[in-house]
Amino acid sequence: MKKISFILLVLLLSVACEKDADIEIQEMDPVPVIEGKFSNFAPDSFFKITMSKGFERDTYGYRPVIDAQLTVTDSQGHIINFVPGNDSIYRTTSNGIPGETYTLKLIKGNQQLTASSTMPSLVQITDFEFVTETDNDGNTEYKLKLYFDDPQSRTDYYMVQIFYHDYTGFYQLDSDIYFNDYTYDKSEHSLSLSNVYDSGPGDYKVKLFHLNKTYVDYLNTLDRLGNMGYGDSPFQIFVPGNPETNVQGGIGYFATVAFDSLIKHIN
Amino acid sequence: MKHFFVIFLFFILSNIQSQQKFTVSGTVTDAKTGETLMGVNIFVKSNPQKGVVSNYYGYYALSLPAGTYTLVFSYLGYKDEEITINLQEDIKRDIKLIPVPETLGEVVVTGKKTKIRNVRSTVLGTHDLQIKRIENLPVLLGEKDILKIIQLLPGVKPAGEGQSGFYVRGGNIDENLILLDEAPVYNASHLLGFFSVFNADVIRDVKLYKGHIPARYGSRLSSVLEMRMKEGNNKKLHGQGGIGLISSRFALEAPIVKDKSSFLISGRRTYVDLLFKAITNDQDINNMGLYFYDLNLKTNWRFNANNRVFLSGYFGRDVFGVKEEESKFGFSWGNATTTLRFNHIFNSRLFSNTSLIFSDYNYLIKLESRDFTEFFFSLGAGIQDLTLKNDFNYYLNDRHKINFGLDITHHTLRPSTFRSSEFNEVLDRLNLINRYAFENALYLSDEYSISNKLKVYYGLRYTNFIHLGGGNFTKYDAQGNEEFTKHYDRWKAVKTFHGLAPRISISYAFDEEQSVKTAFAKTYQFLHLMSNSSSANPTDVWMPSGLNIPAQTSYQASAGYFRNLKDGKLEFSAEIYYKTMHNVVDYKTGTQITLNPEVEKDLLYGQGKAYGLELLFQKKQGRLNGWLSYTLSRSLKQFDGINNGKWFSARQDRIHDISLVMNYRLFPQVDLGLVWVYYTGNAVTFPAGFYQINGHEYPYFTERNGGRMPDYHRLDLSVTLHNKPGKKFRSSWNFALYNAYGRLNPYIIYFREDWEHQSRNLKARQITLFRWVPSITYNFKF
Repeated sequence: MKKISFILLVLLLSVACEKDADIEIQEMDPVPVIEGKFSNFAPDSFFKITMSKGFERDTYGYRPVIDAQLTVTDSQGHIINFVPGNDSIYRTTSNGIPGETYTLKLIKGNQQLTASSTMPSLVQITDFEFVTETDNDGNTEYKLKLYFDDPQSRTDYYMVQIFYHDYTGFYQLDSDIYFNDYTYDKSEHSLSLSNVYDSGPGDYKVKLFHLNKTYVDYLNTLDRLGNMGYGDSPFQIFVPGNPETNVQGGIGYFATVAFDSLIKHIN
Repeated sequence: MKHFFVIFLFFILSNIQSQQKFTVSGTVTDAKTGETLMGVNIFVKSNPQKGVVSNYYGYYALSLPAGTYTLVFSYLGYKDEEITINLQEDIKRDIKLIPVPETLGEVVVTGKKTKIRNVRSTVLGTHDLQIKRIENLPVLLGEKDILKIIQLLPGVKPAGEGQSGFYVRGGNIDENLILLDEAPVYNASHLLGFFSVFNADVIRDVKLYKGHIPARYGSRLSSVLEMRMKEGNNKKLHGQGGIGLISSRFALEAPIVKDKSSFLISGRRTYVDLLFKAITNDQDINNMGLYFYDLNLKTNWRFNANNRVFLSGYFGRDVFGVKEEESKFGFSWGNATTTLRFNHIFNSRLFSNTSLIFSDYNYLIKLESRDFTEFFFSLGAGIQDLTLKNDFNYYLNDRHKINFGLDITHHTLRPSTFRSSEFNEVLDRLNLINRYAFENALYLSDEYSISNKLKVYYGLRYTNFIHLGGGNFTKYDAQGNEEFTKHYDRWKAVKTFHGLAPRISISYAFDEEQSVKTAFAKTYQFLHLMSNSSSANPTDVWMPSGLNIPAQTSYQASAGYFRNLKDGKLEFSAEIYYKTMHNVVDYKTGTQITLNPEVEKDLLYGQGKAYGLELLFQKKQGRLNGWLSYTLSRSLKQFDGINNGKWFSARQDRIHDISLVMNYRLFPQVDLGLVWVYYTGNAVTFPAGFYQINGHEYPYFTERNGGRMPDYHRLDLSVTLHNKPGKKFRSSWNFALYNAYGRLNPYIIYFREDWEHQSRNLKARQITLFRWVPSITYNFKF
């Protein structure tokens, strides 16, 4: 019986097989995809435009689109033009105003993408410092302690960038750090870092971006979708779909952000 | 509520007649085993319309005017028993029915009883399944599985390839109340859903309610699947078991005191891991464990003719473990249920059953150092119920059978418990407070024979659900923003729901061969399974209705035509139904359902509708028996946050569903079995294109569930060879081939990059799990 069972078991495992699936796919036509943000400081405002693809694609990947018209209009009807640079990124020379509502319009051939967003209020950084803490196992943790004028009694969403100044100028140290004040709702926040102290003494710059919740939700959903895989599996633990967006007629998100920065010399 | 009682009293009072009536009552048992028989037809031979059906404990009571009568006791698989009584006072008659010997090769029944059950009763959208009828059918890996057989009935659809989870009339998997000896089983699957937890050797009766749901049941929107374990042979020692490809099972039953008390004990264990360990020296395999086991226990004691106690339990667990040099990992999950029941006969007309029921489902993931000192980590969740039920049957007269009672259940839901030797901020967020709730119900129903042709069942169930405190509770708005967080003490109500659920069913018999029936049922559901998976994921957790999750409700109207042919040897039924579901739960795009402490933020509430036509043609007797069923149905959902608010297909929206089930006794020692199934593929979400953000590629979807899996079909065959029976020992070999023609049904579909002529294309690929799966099982009984 044992021999028979073993043979049958091996047979079972060997019969699981794979092949091309015979399914109908409704393939979409390419549409413009927008990524980037409009901020209260022109050099930090930029957009990248690409086109979506179907199931068949060439070897060049997602090439940037440089022949589109991209404008942002405020509630008074003032138009801000974005033009592509050598790096194919669309930029402007105009600063956005926190609290203002902007409408983005992108025209690519006969396709038009529109989106609307209100720029969050400016939240100022009052100070920052780097501290070390020791966890229960005796490991040292590097943290950025950030002091800022957090609006009280509501949940705000932020993104922080940390820069270090060397002979080439400021360069970003850590990856973007996202947080919200849902738990604490106070004007001081400790953020875990990976490698700031490796840079040693010098000038540090911290940028604090105030974000809309819908933008953060979009990024979070996108992050989950990136880990999901797609198709159909009985073990699916994420719900497939597109992240909620403010964009119509295309893909991506029109983000408006307001940021403040502070430079400090640390020994 | 008031109207219901006025109608109830009107019907009752209008039928209290002056003519003096007496009651014949008693218990129907199996002559060989002493077990009580549920669902036995008892009727007056000269007037078959006068009759009753024995209840769950074999008890019956029939009130008739004084006179002499011949009563017929009739039950599928048993010889009819006739007794003549001179009814001049209330009398008691316990009846023993003799089972038809299995060697006859067919179930011999009279036509009348089949006709009466099928045509006369008010039952609509209900299926009884006798284990004997499914014993020889081909099943995956030779494991007799009741839930797989249920899926072959009209209106019932499997959740996926090889899965024991099922959808009923367009409802979700969590909308089925699965009861084992009255105890709810919250995760009825082993090995990610490939096997159910129910060992067919110990199950006596299976009943599925999908349309007409009696008032004594609630808690789920779509169906009630009720299973009763055998009581245990109180005449003599009896054993049965089987040795299969992946598991073996053994059951033993015997009297403790003959005719008074008995016990049943049964065990089942898979041994793939042991088999591998025996044949290989591979250290990785030897350090790995993967198995499941079940243990069923039952005992009963008859104190006297009027009092009897039953105690039953089920314990089952899946275990997966890996031992490494310095650590060991374990993942286990399982159910435990215990039911203590007390039957009491107050008088010939009033029968009561009181039950105390415990049910627990939990899972535990553990990682720890081998010496148990350096580190450990554990994550678990579960649900636990404690229920008190009191159910009464009152046989008012030959026209009214009244059922009333109450249920009180205390739920403890443990969404997530995390323990660790080290503090971890992220994982600590998974340490969630327990949720507690009371779910209570009062119900009353009457089965009323208005005339020989017209019968009506009407009932009302009052349901009350109280979500209790014991920590901080957060209310979110529709966008997932926090509205408030508030502390509630342990026994303080956080949120209370009430509801009245009317149930009605009417049957009109044109004659003894055909009838039409119609039914209406409203149901409530307060517990919701957080799952997006079609497999039985052991980490899926149940969440109660409360501040954020509303109570789900369903309204179902159905109608059917029932016809018996060839003197009851063939049965045909056609049923249609229309069901609406409200506050059904779905998820926002990208929601991580498992291990998400804030999953309530990401829930969407909408509505659903399901409608369909179900045809069933069955032959219950003869050398060739079985059934053919066809279901034409739709199941649609609508949510403001999905597909722009448009109606869309639910995952289980399978338009066509066909099942053919056949048993054929080729020779007295040889049985053949055949199962063929076909159904439309699931509605699923496939990408329609791709885009890039920040250097990463993402899929773009046109609509939720806008795609279809390929149609599914499969043929299974079996041959059962019965060895020459000995005086006390019988055995057989069952050879089966699952998916006999090797259809490549997809289990998983995924997209893979293929390079062709300098271009990078994405192709849909499918993985088929079960193709030509043979099995062999040796079964025996003594």
